[in-house]
Amino acid sequence: MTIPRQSSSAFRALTRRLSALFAASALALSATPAFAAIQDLLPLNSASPNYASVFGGVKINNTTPETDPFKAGAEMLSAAYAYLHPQSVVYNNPAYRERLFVLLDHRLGLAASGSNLRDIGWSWQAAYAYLLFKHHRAAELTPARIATYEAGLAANNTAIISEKPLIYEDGVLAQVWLNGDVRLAMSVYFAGQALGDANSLALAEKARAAIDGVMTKTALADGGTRYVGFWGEVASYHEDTVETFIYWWKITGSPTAKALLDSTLRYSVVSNEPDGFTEQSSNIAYKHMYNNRHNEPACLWKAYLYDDGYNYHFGRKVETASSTRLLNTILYQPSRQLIVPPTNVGVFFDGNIQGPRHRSATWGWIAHGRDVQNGGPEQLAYSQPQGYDGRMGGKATFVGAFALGPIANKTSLKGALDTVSIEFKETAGVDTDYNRGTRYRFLAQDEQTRVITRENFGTLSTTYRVSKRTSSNATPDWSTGATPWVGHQLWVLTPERVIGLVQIVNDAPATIYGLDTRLVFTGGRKGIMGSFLDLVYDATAKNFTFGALRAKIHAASYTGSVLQQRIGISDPNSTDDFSALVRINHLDTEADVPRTFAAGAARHWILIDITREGASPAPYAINVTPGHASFAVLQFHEGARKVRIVQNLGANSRSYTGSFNVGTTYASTSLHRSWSDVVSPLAVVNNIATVTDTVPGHGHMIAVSSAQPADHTNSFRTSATVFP
Amino acid sequence: MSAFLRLFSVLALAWFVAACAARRPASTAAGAAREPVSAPPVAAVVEAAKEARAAELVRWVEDAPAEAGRWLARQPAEPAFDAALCSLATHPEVVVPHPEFAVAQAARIIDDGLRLAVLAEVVSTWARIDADTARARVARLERIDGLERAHLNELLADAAAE
Repeated sequence: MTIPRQSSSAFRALTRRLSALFAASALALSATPAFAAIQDLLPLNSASPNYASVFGGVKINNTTPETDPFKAGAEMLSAAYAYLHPQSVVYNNPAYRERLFVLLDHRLGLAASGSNLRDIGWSWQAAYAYLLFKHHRAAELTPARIATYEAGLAANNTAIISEKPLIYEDGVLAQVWLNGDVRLAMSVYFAGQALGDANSLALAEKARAAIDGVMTKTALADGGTRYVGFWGEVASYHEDTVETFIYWWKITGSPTAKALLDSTLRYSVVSNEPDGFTEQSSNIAYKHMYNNRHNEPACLWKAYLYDDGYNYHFGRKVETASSTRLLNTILYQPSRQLIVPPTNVGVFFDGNIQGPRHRSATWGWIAHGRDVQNGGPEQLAYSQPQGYDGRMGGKATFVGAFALGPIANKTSLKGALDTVSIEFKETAGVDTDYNRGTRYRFLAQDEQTRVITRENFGTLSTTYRVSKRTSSNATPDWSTGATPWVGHQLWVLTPERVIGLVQIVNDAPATIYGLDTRLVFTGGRKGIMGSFLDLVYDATAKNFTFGALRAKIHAASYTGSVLQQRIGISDPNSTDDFSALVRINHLDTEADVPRTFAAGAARHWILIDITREGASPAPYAINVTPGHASFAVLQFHEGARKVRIVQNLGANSRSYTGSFNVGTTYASTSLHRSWSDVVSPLAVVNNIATVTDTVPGHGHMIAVSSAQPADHTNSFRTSATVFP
Repeated sequence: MSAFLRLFSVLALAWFVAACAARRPASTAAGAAREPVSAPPVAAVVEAAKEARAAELVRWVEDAPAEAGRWLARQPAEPAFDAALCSLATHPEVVVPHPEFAVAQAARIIDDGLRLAVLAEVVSTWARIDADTARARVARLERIDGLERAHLNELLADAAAE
C-alpha cells in the first residue's frame, strides 16, 4: 500500500493532529455522560427559535404517502416526536399519529412484500419510529399493523445485513458507503430492539458493532469523513453523515460516534469558501454536484455542540424560526461565538484531500493528492491494512480551479474548470455517461501521486493506469479495471495559475476509436445555482474563455479538431446546459474508425495553463522532454518566478541532471523535493542553475527561481495555522 | 447492402474464424516455431472479429433501432452485445417511446459499470416523461446495490425538480 507523499514535515504535522484527535477522543470518552435507554425521547430545547414550528413539515390530514424516500424518512421522525414527545407543542394530537401510520403503512408494507428494501431514505427513521411507538403507545397499534410493520422491518434487516458480508462479517473499511451504510445499520439496530427475537437481536448486534467498530473509523485529517471506500465524503453529503451520527450518539451514547463527530469540527472552514461555495472537483467522479448544498445545518449543529465560531458563520442562516429540522431544537444552545473566516488565505495543506488548496477572493484551486484506492495515512493510524482496495472507481481529475465573484443566482461561482484528463475511446458509439464514461475511459487507478505544499505554491505529480472500473464493491485490487493506457500528470499551482503537463501512453498494443484531452467547464446547474456561461475558443491563440475562467493550451503533441457540447454536469440527460464538455482531439481520424497502436506508439501530451479573468497566461511554458519515457520536465515563467519541475515517470529511482537557464532576474534559486523536506539552494553559473538529483520512483522535484523568501524554505501552512 | 446483410456477413466471418480455431490442433512449442513470424495469432483474429461484430451491431442499432432491437432482444445476454445494448437502450427512438423496453435491455448488460451508467441515463430520461412509473421501476431493479440505487433516486429527484 502506498500513501500520497507530502514532505515529511507535513506528514509529521498530520500525525500530530491525529494523535491530538485520539487524545481529545479519549478525553471525550472519560467525560461522556450516562445515556438513557434508546426508547427515551431526546429532550427538546424550548428556547430554540424553531421550537414552535419544528413539526410543521408533517403533512397531517393527508392520506397520500410521500413518494420521495428522504422526505418520507424525515417526516416519519418528525411525526413520531410530534405525537409522542411530552415536550412537543402538538403532543398527543392524533393527526400526527395517523400521518405516521400513513407513512409507515406505505414503506413497511412494501418492505413486507419484499420490495423497496435497503432504502437509505427512510429505513432508520421507520425502525426508530416503530421502536418508540411500540414502547410508548403499544396499545394504539392494531395487530395487523404490528404484523405488517414487523414483517417489513425483519425483511429489511435481513436484506441489509446479507448484502454486505464484508462489512457486517469481516469489518472491511474499504467496503463502507458511510452515509448510506450507517443509516441502514441504524435501521437494523433499532428494528432489532423493537422486534426483540433472538435472530433480530443478533443482527442488531452486528449492525451496532459495524457502526461503532468500523464506520466510526472514517475520520480524515482535516474534518472530513469518507464517502465510499477510501474516497473523501461528497461535499453535499457531509450534512447527512453528521446528522446521522449525531442521532446515533445521542440515542445510544456511542463514544466512538462522538469521537468521529468531534473530528469533523474543521470540515467546513477548510472545504467551503467563506461565502459558502464548495469546490467539487475533489468529489468522486459522478458527484460533482454544484447543487448549492453547503452543509449549513451540520455547521449549525456543530456550533451548538462545540461553541465553534467558524461553524456558526456557515450555519447561522438556517437558525430560523421556520426550520423543521429536529436537531435544531434538540441541540440548541443560546450562547455561541461567531468567527468570520478569512477570504484571502493563500495556499495551505488540506488534509482531507492530502494536497494543497488555494483560497482568495477571486479564485481558488485544489490539487487532489489523496489515494482514493487505498487507505491513506488515516487508515494506517486507525487499523491495519485489511487486504482490500476501496469501493467504486478512481479520479476523473487531479486538479480543479474555480473563479469567484459577487453572489448571483445563489452562488459566487463565475466559472470552474472542473475536470482535466486525457481520455481514449474504447468502443465505437455515443457515450452515455459524462461523469464516469461508458465508451470513453478517463478514470484513474493504481495512482502514484506525490504533492508538495509550500507557502506560495503547490505541486502534484501522478502516474496512474487509465481505468474502466466505474462501479464496484471493494476488491483485493482493481486489476479488472486495467487498460493498456498509462496517464502521467505534472502540475504546478500558484496564486497566479494552475499549469500542467498531462500525458498518456499505451504500454501494450491497443486498438482505440479516439484519443483526446477532456475538459469540463461549469457555471453551475440550471434551476439550482449559477449561470449559463459562454465557452469561447480562440483557435489561433488556443485560449478558452469560460465566464471569469481562462485556459490556454501552450503546446500539445498534436491538436486536431476541438469539439464542445453543452451538458448537465450532474445529470447529463437533463435540460441543464450550464456545463461544457470540450474534447481536444489528438488523433486525426474520423469518428469511430478504429486505430491500432503498438506498445508505446501512442504517446500524447498537452501543456495547459488555467488562470482567471485579469491574469495572463504564463509568457513562457514548454514541455522540455516531449516523448521522453523516463522523465517529464515542465518549465515556465510567471510574473514573479521561473520554474522547472521534473517528474520521474517510472517506479524505479533515476538520476536526472538538467540545465535551467534562470538568468539574473531573481536572487535565489532553490530545489524542493516531493520525497524530502530538505530545500537546497542551487548555484547559478553563467545564468544556469543545474538541477540534479536521484529521484525516487514516481517522485518529482521543482526548482524555483524568485525573489520571494517563502519560495526558498520548506515552510507551509496547515488549516490549523490559517484558521486558528 | 442492407444493414442486416452487413451484420450477417460479419457474423459469418466471426463464425468461420472461430470454427477454424476450434478445429486447429493444440499448438506445441515445435508447431508454434513453424508459424510464420508475421501471422497474427488466431486468438487475435477472433478478438478482432468480435470487435468488428460489436462495432457493426452498434451501427445497425444506430441505423435501424427497431429492427436491431427486435433481434437483440431475442439473443442471450453476453459481453459481446453490451455495446449494442448500450446504444439500443439509450437511442432516442427507443427510450422515449418505450422506456420500459429500454430499461429491460439496459438491465441485460453484463458489465456492471456500463449497465449502471446506461440505467442511469435511461431512468433519468424516463423520469422526465413519467416520474412515478420510473421511480417504481427503479424500486424493482435487480442486480443493483444500495449505493447505485441511491444514485438513481437522486437523478429521479433531480428530474422531478425540473
